[in-house]
Amino acid sequence: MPDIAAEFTEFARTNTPSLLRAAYLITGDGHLAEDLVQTALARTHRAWRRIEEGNASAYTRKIMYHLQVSWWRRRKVNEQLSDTIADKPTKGDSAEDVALQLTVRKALMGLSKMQRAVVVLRFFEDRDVAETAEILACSTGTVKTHTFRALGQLRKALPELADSMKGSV
Amino acid sequence: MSTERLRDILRNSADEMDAVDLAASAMKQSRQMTVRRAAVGATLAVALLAGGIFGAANFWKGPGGGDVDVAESASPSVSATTSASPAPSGSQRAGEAAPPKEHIEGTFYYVTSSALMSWTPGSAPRTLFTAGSSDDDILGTANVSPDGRYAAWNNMKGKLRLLDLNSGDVRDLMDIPTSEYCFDPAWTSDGRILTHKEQGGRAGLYDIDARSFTELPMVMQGCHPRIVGSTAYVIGGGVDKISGYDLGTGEVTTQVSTVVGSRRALDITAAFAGPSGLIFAVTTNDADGTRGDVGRGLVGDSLFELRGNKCVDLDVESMDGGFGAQNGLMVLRQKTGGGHRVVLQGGDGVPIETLDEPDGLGEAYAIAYNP
Repeated sequence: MPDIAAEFTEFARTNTPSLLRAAYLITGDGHLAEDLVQTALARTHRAWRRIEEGNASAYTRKIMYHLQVSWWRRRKVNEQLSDTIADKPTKGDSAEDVALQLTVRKALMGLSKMQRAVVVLRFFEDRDVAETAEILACSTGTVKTHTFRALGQLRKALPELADSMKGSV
Repeated sequence: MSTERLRDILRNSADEMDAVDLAASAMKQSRQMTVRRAAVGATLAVALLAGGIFGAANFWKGPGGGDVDVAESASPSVSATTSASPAPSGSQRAGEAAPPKEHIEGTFYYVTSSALMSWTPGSAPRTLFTAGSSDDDILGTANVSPDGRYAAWNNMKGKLRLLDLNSGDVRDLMDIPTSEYCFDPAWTSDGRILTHKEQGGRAGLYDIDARSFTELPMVMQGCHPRIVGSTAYVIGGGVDKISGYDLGTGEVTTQVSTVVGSRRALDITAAFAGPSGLIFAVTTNDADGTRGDVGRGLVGDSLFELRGNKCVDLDVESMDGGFGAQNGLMVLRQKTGGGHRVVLQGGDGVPIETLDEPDGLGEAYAIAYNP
């Protein structure tokens, strides 16, 4: 008889790192990211037996984004942005890069949840418009609209990225 | 600078997040959710049982006895993406609590220009009635009873008509104003029909069993009534207002603006008790756009929640019809690329199950859902 706990544990350990990275970008806070991923994993665990074979990862990711952008989710903790970047060294760790990352995070947090989710899906997860629409359960037109508006706002906050946003919708 | 720069910056930002093991805490949370849901389900079952006994003994005026077909739905629709993770098993571990039932059950009802249709997940759509004449305004006025046994609509030659969905029999119930597009028959929870005899006259309830019409103490100022509990809500009673009339006293108990942000509700397509309050599924246009006419709006593109004495737009994406609640959960219809799907959502707004509608309903409008 299959051991669901063992199966799920292995699944969670394999997928949690990538989920947390995306969750961090869409929440802007490490604790909120952990809370979000944990809840998405919990829902996946509950649905484990009825998720189609091989789709647990997609299911969890979809739940995670829906939890974040859902329109009547009660929030225990308001979103917040810490004004410092973690001490952990990153690829670009010069003062200029750190300042840029902080600016990016602030710009991301200035977007609506839906816009942020679209940006993360499109430009962090490299999903195309159709995949993004499928994950967020909206039309491709909605994704394009949110992408356009999000990039417009990012362009204002980050003039140096202006070139990168041309034709990206 | 290319989009790669944006990607690099996002990746660098994401690198700030340390990996932690959430498997154990997620399973713990999952079990807590199961226990909570089971407790809520048990409470609801007790309340429904008590309510059913009380209602049957005191208030039920409907036909009774009709079985409502309930079919198991399909598995949740989750698109496939590649995953190297282990596949979930199809069986249940011994000793583990069975998960709560969260499938979309019940029957959905639709109208087209001339037909009334139904769809129960797991089966093909059925045509319940096809109008032989344009006088039977199915599209504009047909509504289904809460027990799914009857449908009523306005015949434009001045008749309120009733279809028995089990037998297919159609009969005229009473005379109503001719060309009555504004006041489509609304069902009470106990199976009576809210309608009126004369244009601009008092509203009243038609009792199917007693075959009698009892006037209520009010003229309802507005169109397309929708009933929740003992209150009928109409669009009207003032410019851009939703008015709620107590069906017992006739008093206006609610009057709220339909203008929310840049949207204005033209018609209420459905009203129901949502997880956190009364919800109107409404057809809207821009706040500064033209107003609607007496024909009912069937699009149901927005959900307005009543909070205190104002409506709040719940800002649902791609909505194309809101139906109602099922044990504290909510069922909505949404557009997809090639058609529609129905979505069962929890109180936190998270989709629990999504079912794509079958072919044949793409051109139809959803009007009702019976759990």
